[in-house]
Amino acid sequence: MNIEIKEQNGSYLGILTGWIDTADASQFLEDLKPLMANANKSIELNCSQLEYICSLGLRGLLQLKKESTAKGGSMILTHVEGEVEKILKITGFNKLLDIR
Amino acid sequence: MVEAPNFEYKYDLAYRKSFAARLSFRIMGIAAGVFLAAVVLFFYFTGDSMTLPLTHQIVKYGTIVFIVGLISLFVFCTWAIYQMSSPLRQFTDSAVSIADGNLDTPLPKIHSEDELLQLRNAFEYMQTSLKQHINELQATTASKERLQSELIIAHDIQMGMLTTVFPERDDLDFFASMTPAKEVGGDLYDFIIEDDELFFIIGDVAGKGVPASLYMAVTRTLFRHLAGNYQSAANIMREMNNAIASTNESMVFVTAFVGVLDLRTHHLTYCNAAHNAPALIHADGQCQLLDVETNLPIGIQDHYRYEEQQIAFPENTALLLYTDGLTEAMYISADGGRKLFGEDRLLHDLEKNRQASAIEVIDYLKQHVNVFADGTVQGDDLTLLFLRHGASRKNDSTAPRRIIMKNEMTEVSRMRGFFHSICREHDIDEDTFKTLNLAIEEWVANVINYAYPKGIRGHVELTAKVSEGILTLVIKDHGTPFDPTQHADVDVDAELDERQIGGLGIHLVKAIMDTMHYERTADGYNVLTLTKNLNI
Repeated sequence: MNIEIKEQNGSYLGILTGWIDTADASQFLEDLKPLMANANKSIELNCSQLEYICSLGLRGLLQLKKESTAKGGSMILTHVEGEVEKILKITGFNKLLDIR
Repeated sequence: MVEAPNFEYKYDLAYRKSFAARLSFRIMGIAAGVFLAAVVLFFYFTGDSMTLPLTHQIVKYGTIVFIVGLISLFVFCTWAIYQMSSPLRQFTDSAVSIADGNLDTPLPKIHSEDELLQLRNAFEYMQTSLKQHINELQATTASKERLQSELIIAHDIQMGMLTTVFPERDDLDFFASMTPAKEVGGDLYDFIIEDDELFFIIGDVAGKGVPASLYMAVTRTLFRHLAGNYQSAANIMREMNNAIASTNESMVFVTAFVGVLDLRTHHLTYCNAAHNAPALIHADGQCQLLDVETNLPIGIQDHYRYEEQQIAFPENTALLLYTDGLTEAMYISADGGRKLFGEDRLLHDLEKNRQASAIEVIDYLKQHVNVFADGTVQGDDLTLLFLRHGASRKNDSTAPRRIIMKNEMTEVSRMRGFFHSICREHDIDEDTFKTLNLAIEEWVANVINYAYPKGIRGHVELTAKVSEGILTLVIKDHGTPFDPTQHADVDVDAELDERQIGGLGIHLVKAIMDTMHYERTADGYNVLTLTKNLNI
């Protein structure tokens, strides 16, 4: 599991890679903190490299989305495919998160 | 612990019920009685000689004196008694305060040397005794708790010594389990594979509890150390015996069976130190007890010469090693009659399960012992070790596979590897593997996080079986009862701001798998059974 965060003209891009499983989840929440701090900006999470996400990982995404909505920012997920797309559908997260 | 009686002290002492009032009324009554008697007697003796006006005057003034006297007497008595009983009221307050736990509550000062002083002394004695008893009780409780937590740690260390990661070889089906009767037990098993030789041991230390567990640890460690270096079974036994017998002041002994199976030549050498004869299951399904020489148990006589034996161990031969916790498992009927599990029952079970895998045989036997004992308390540790040598395991892909994990989050990765290898074996594609893994992981992570109290070592066991296109997963833990089928479903259609965080994991398990069944077993396990049809 890895997140690479890039900043460009005041908007943020996070590239999620690999497996976010239960053992990694607390690290994932920690890694999301820089984005949480900038939840008022526009954030894009690129999921093209993301292979797997557990419920704790989803919880991190939901927290970020709530924070972003509260602070008037925006958060979108891009390149959601395969397994991850399926999990988002099963959990109904596809309706909560802005997936492009 | 004895519970404090539920008693609430009430202060609502009404004046009319008070000691002073009751005593004053009584004195007044007596005084009035005495006065009236005096008046009657006075008139009786002097009535004839008195004139009427004089009588009137006497009655008039007499009545006034009587009433004034009675009132003054009453006021005086009440005041005096109230004064005298004031220490009693202070005692009442002190007693209530002591009962609330304030053991150092000051007692009223008593200057007289009467019963009140005695009462005060008795109170003081009660205070110091109480303090002493409570201190003793606290010390005992603390040391008992410490002992209890040390026992739990000892149990963890002991169970940690018994490896639950079994060899993954195509030519070997191997599984073992130990169920201690008390917190710590005296049974052991171990194995190592070196240069295609499987060294294995099962043993039973005489006695139970902490002393037995110490010897169990020593014996296992010695075996580990010796197994690779002293190639023959008899040599290993001899060296273990010499090490233990030379310093065995307390004459604790260990019965053991050591085997060395050459996986290339299909040859088994073994040495039995007064242990139960293992059961041999031939390739054709016939079962018998292995022929064993009688040697002394380990630890009794220094330099004892152990005899070893050999047999051919052809393809698909199997061996079940056990401790007397199996054959001497007892059923006590209501009228006190006793029945032992015994060897015949064991051999019969093995014949019935001749096709079964190591895991299935051990599960079957454990289950059968439980059913047989029917509630009779397990008196001895129960250890089982099953091994089958041959290529059959490779061909039999429907045999269940099991992984036993500790309640540590890092185990989730090990489980993923385990499950991935099963999926590959059954040509399950990567995406399906990921989805199924998520379902298992969500539940297992839930067990790891919440089933056991913080700091307590526990296990979670996953058994996976693929048969006729159906994947069956059984996840078992010994923790707090938790029935996910009773858990309210999350509302996946809820809006963002009302979306509850949590509960998602169970929803994922339910959504991914076809069926979910929960059972809390009589011996305290949560057993979750999940199935998935892989052909849809």
